[in-house]
Amino acid sequence: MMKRVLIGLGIFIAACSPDEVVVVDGDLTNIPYQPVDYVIPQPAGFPSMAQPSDNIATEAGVELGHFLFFDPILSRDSTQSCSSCHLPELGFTDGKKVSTGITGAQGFRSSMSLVNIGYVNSGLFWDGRSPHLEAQAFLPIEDPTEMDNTWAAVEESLRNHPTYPEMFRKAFGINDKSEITSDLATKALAQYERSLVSANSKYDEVLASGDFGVFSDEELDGYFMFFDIEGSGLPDAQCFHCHSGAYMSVNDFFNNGLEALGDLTNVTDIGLGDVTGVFTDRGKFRATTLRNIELTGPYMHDGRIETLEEVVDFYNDSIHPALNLDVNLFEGVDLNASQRASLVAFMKTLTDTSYLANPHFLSPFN
Amino acid sequence: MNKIAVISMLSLIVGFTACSPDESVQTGEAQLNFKLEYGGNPLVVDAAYDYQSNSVRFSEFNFIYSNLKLLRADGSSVDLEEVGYLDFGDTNTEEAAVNGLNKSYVDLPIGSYTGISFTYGLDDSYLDKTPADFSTDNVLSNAGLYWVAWGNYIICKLEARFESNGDGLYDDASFQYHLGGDTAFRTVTIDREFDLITDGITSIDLVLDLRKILLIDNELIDPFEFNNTHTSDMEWLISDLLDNVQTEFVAE
Repeated sequence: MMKRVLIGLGIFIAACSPDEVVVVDGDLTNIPYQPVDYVIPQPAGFPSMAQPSDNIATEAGVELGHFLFFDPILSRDSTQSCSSCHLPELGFTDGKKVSTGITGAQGFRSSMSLVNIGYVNSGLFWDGRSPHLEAQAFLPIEDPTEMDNTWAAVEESLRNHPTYPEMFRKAFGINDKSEITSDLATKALAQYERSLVSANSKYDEVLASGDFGVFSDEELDGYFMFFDIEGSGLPDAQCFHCHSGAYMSVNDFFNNGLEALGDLTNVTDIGLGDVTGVFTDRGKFRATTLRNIELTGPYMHDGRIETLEEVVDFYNDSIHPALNLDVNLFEGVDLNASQRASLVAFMKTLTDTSYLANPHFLSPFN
Repeated sequence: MNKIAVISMLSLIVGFTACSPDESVQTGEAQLNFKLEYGGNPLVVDAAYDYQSNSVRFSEFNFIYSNLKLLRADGSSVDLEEVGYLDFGDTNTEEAAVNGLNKSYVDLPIGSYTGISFTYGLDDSYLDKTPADFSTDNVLSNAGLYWVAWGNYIICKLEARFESNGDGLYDDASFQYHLGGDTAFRTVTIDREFDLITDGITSIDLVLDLRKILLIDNELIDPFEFNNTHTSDMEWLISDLLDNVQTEFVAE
């Protein structure tokens, strides 16, 4: 069948048949593209956040990512957004052992916190399979246990949306809405995630002021044990080997003894080992941030532990041996009940809900 | 001035410009291959080796270095890198262990050199630095390399697990020798004559034998007696280990 194409005044008219006319208006060049760098907050005690050279955050890029993050348009049936499993009020987790996708299918790992996620400079996800936020944002959309969509369908939805083409133009300078791609969408999501910086916990107050008097006696004891401060007369809780620094994670992967993995030949969830192919990485998972840990239960990669108190109890007396058990846990932890309570009290000083008063962290659709 | 004279002068100018001192410097490339051994054999991370009457698997060895430079006979030097970091965690196959960790440096002045020098660790100009002083793409922002309790960088981590009861789990003992503190740095100077040339890469192996590092008074350190260096009463061990590192690097 003969096709006729008429082009005029930015209007692209394709006539596929006498009674089938498709009007496509993809030209965005009349919309100004004037990118302004987004200034990522720099809290005291934090390293400065490096950004990829091909995705420096802009005001428009972050705003676009903000909308995409909270928009269910990304899922196949438009029922779930990123925020469905990353709820701001739960430290951007979902409070479940494992998350449930649009089909009702369950994933097999727990939702991870996103506040200050821009400070992660090694593999993302519990198993480290994504090298950076841009790559990470690509995966949940097509995961059948999450949004169960295709990027082709998402791109089509975004191109035909009443406002997103303009936002993509302002964020990335595209000339035509046909240039909206998964690459740009994930870049915008990554920009927004890097902007999720908050550091207003009691712990931050101590870091900024150097005044340990801000802590209660119980919290201070917990701090001493957490970081093994010599001279306190308190035992080493061995926490700091995996959880330290402003982000409260050393951005590495460990077997923390959750299961008796023995010689590693029978490991149910291989974790990092599935990504690296290294035998002794089997059963290793990311040491997650402890920021807002009070809000982000249940705990561990599979949400097997309900409370912080139970987490401390686990490290105190239930670590299982394995060929790759982290050597810092060999000696075990030997805290009495009071000391365990102090450790929990200290970890609760890492709670920061101040960001919930900031619209930037909340849905722009409300 | 006629045309020939003008052209001649222009030619002279062009000729002088092309031969200016900056552009006449000829450069070459050096590749330094940092390799670990144990008892003279390539050390494969997480592989089993004899250790006293036990078996050992080394699970982690990494270190920060600084002030890496090439040395000349006249006492001058060529700077290669201000701060670097080597993590041998991925040398977990025989091939990876034999290859070592390779660092390439280009645009170096050609000529004869007499050695290589670096600081094992960070010198005292970094004593007041913390991860917050660096960007997340700088290794010194890594919280895992900073010792909050001591207020210093952990400039080296050496970790191992030991098997003594025969169950194969290597959980009978371990050591975590994390080296840090105000004086936890050593200047390492390795004598080795070599030439940098314009056409080709000068490759030098820098080898460290961990077994030699772990010898104190000619005896391997007993992991059942000394399993970590986290308290000030173990600073002697940090110092002894660093002294060994300082003398045991060899160029091959």
